[in-house]
Amino acid sequence: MPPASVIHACTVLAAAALLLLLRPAGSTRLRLVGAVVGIGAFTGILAQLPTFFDGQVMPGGTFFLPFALISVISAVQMITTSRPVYAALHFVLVVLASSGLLVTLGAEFLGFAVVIVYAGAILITYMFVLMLAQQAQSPDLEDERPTYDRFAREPIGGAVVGFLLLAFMNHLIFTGTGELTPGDADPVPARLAAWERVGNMPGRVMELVVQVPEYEQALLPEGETLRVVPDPDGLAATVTVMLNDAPSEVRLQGELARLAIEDNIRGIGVALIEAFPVSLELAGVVLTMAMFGAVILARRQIELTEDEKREASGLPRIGHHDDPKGGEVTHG
Amino acid sequence: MIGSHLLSVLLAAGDTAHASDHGHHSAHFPVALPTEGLGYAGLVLALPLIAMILNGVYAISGVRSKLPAWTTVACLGTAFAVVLNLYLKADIEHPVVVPLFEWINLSWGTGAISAPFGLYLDSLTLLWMLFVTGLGTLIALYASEYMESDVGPAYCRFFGGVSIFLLAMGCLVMGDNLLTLYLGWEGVGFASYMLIGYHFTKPSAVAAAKKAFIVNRIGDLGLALGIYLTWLHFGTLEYSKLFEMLQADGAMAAAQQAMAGGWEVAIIPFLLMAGAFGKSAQLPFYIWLPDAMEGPTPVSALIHAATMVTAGVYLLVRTFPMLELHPAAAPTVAWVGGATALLAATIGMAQYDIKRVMAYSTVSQLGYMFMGVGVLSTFGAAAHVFTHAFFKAVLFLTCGAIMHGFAGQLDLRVLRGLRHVKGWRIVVWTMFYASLCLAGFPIISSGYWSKDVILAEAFANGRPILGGIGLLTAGLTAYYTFRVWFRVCCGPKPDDHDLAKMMGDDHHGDDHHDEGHGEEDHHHHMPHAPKWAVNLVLSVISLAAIGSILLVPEHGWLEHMVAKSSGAGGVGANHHDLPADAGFWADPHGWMKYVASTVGLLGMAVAAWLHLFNRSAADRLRATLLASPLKAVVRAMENKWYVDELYNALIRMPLKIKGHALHMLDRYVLDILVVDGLGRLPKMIGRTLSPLQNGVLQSYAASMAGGVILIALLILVLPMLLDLLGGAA
Amino acid sequence: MAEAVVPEVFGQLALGHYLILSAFLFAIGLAGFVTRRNMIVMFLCTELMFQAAVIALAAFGRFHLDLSGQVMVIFVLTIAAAEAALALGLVVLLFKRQPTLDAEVWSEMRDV
Repeated sequence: MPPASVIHACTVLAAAALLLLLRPAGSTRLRLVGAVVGIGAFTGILAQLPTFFDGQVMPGGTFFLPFALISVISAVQMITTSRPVYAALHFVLVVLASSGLLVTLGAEFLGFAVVIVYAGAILITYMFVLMLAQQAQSPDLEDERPTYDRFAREPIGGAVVGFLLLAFMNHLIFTGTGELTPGDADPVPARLAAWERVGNMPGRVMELVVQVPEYEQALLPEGETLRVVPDPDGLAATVTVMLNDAPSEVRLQGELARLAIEDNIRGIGVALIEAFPVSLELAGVVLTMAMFGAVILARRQIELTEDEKREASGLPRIGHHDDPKGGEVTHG
Repeated sequence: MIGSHLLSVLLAAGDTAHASDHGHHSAHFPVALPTEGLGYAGLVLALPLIAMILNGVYAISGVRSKLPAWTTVACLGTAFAVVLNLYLKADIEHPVVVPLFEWINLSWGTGAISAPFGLYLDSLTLLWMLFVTGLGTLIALYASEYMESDVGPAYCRFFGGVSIFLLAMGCLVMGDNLLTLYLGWEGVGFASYMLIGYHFTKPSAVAAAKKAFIVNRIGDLGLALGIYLTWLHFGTLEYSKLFEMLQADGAMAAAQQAMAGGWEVAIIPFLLMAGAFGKSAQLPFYIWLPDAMEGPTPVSALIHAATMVTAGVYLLVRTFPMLELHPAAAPTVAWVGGATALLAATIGMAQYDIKRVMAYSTVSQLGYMFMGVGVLSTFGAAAHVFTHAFFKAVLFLTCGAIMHGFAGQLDLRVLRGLRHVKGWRIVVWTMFYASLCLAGFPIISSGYWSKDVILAEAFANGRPILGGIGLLTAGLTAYYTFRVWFRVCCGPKPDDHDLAKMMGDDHHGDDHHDEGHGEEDHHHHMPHAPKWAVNLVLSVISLAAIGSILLVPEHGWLEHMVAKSSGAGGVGANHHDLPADAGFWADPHGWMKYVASTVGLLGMAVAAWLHLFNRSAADRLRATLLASPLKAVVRAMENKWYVDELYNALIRMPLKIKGHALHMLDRYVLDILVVDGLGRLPKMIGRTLSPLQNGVLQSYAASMAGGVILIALLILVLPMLLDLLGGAA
Repeated sequence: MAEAVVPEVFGQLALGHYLILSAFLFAIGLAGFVTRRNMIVMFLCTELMFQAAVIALAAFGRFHLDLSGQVMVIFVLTIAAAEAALALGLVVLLFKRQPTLDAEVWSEMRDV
């Protein structure tokens, strides 16, 4: 493990950089210094990692650093800009960058889903509301922007709280907790589990099998379940199919095997239905309730006077002072 | 079980048992056997109980007559008749236990405690009950007149208290086990408290009642512990079983017993002694008795002179065999008694309040009784209890009559010439006779006979210093007794003007509210002579005192009564046999008659010189003494040797300081830091944290983040701490 | 040696890289939530924190070869969408009452 002082020093530097950037009327030079220090601190912490993790690594570094930098810089821009619309646009950048990161993680479906849902749907809603709320203003006149946009509330408090948490997370990441050590995830069981999942989807297996030369005419075995027997290391599997009315064994390996166990969208679909059916239902309920809530909140609010409420509930008016029809009431 | 084990140990040790070191063996005395057919003896307890309940009913129904007094007198008189009947029927050679009902019977595991409510009727019980119920009846009769100014609820309360006292005293004396005795012991303590504090609106009476109760409690703690240890080591509290065990082998040596049971057994007599000293006003507990004179005079006479204060003597005589559980027990009793006798006598000499003089003389005489028990003369002690009960009752009752008649005047410097006042003859002469008894006038006074036995036994028992103290005290007693009588009853004849000047201020004594008194106008200016009830009672008790002379001498009725009871070990005939050819001085019982008479007469002569013939000489003497180097002694005597002040400084003040310190601790440390602090903590936390709830969303978010950090710290630091601890272990 | 190390560092990725990034995004989001006054930007900051969680979950799923991580991301998206709907509804409502987006204007809504 790298010396904790280096990591924490980087965290403090990052916090200082954020403070510089949060200064409301900071000069451009100071902002530049802050940006450089912040990026340096961020990459500095990242650079400590491989010296520590000599275990599980994966290729793809080429895309990681650009996306990571884009997302972090955009995030900082988002919280430092004084224009809410720019903040939303910077957030779109963050979402796009993180979508790229999701692709490097092999989560292609999520990468697109995030772009569609976040950048497409949610952010557009935000933009609508922003435009609704912000009267037509000249974007060039600083003074016309409301104060609450131009001045950060408590930059020091915010930076301290945020980066204190960051320090803890860094510490946890670098030490690992007792339960989660970064190197002990064994891929073989996961691959075997993926093969088993694929084995439950005979149509998908056949799609792969027919791509194997000479097995274009292969059929499902009649009256029998498709048997998928993975290799002990999970990198390939043997499938028994019917070819020319006779059982025949075919190997799924290489690219085909990768397709079988790494087909992202199918895997998610199966895992969602298989492992989290109740959560899926609950998510649906949450969305429905959110829709109801939004409808009720956005509905036009009608202020009723005391007497109107009484009348609505079938009681006689009592001639309250705020009653618009008060004059008509005769006090018995 | 424990007791039988101890017994077998003792029997096994019996082969090598040697005679106890002071040369006396426990004499055999008959142990009571259960019997049928004497169940009516329970009436002795039931009648005071009935009187008590009736008095309560009277109080509730607002009776405003002398009915409570007559009810009480009737019940107590009947109880006396029952006791008399029991005495006539009883065969004192064969005492009996009359079981009344099962009271306490518990058993758990291998332990058991049983205290059947029964009556132990032997000669000692009957002796005590005769004078307790007899005097109780007479004094209740006296009180019917004495208390007449209080007719109403207070009157009922007074006689209710007297009934409670008689009931409790009956339990104490007649109970057949130590637990019943303890019940009665606490009962008389309560009755005493209730009656001392009869005038509960008077602060001094309340203070005296509290003092009596608290001082008694200290002694009672000893008694309770003694009873507990007795049960623990003998396995029973019933007298008959205890006595059987204790005299199973007549020669059983006290030292052997003590060794077999260890110090827990050896300490039993001392614990019982503490109870006795408390109840009987001995050093160091005597201080409550003089203050107890705040109670109405009949109460002083009955409870604080004649009966209750002799309960300690009764206890020691009753458990006399247990006194031998430690060789130092009896000498301790003797020395405490002797010291108390002398100390109280010296204080009594210097008091001006005649009731207080009598109170100190009671303490002093009780000291004699304990000296008697301590020098192994239970006969002397019991005899003195018996005679003292009558003559001291007379003395108190006459004091009460004077106090009543003179509106609370008790100062012997003011009172004089009562002899010449019409209507006071019986008071004057019964008081004279009782004073003779107290002074130990030869032959014709009962006190002479009983005191002689104790003094002679002190010498016979090889304790000449104690005997000397006793003789000195006898001389002092004669002096202060006649000082009172000469001062109050003799002197120049007072005319009406003088009498009016003698009247008290009405607040000093008992009868401080005289509603309903027939001669109100007259009353406050002139003394009124006692009426028939007081005179009758005084006469009867004086006659009883004279009659007791016949019972007291050696080998007489009283000695016989004691010799057949548990006090047998302390009766002269049972120990020390003198050779027939011994000279005159060899037998203290022989010469003591002459020596004690001489000392008593000397004391009376001094009193006569200073207070009868030459009434101003006393003041001159006092002035001379105050000018001499002895002035410190005189001052000390007048101030009761500063014992109250000593106790105040040694016991009360430290307790008070401690109490204050603890109060401060409680008030300023516990209350503020702990009690209030606990209450204030959430408030402070709330006040500290309430700015956090400022409605600003961001600060809520910061708080949440802080909470997450705290939890993370916990998760992070806790395993590290555990590792550290594990590594250390 | 130094030239060899630098490409190596970012050529081979460990779980830690993604987690560090996620932690940074989260910290920035939190800091933004605390410092910004505009309600809409504050909600954007919460979305940023969601985004950090999304990256962490996906990375865990990848390194454990378990799709549960990605499933969780779907739920996060769901919650984020619901939150956006409600939050923006609230903002519109509040804005109708008082034409400002300053969060502190509404601090009297605390219960005293």
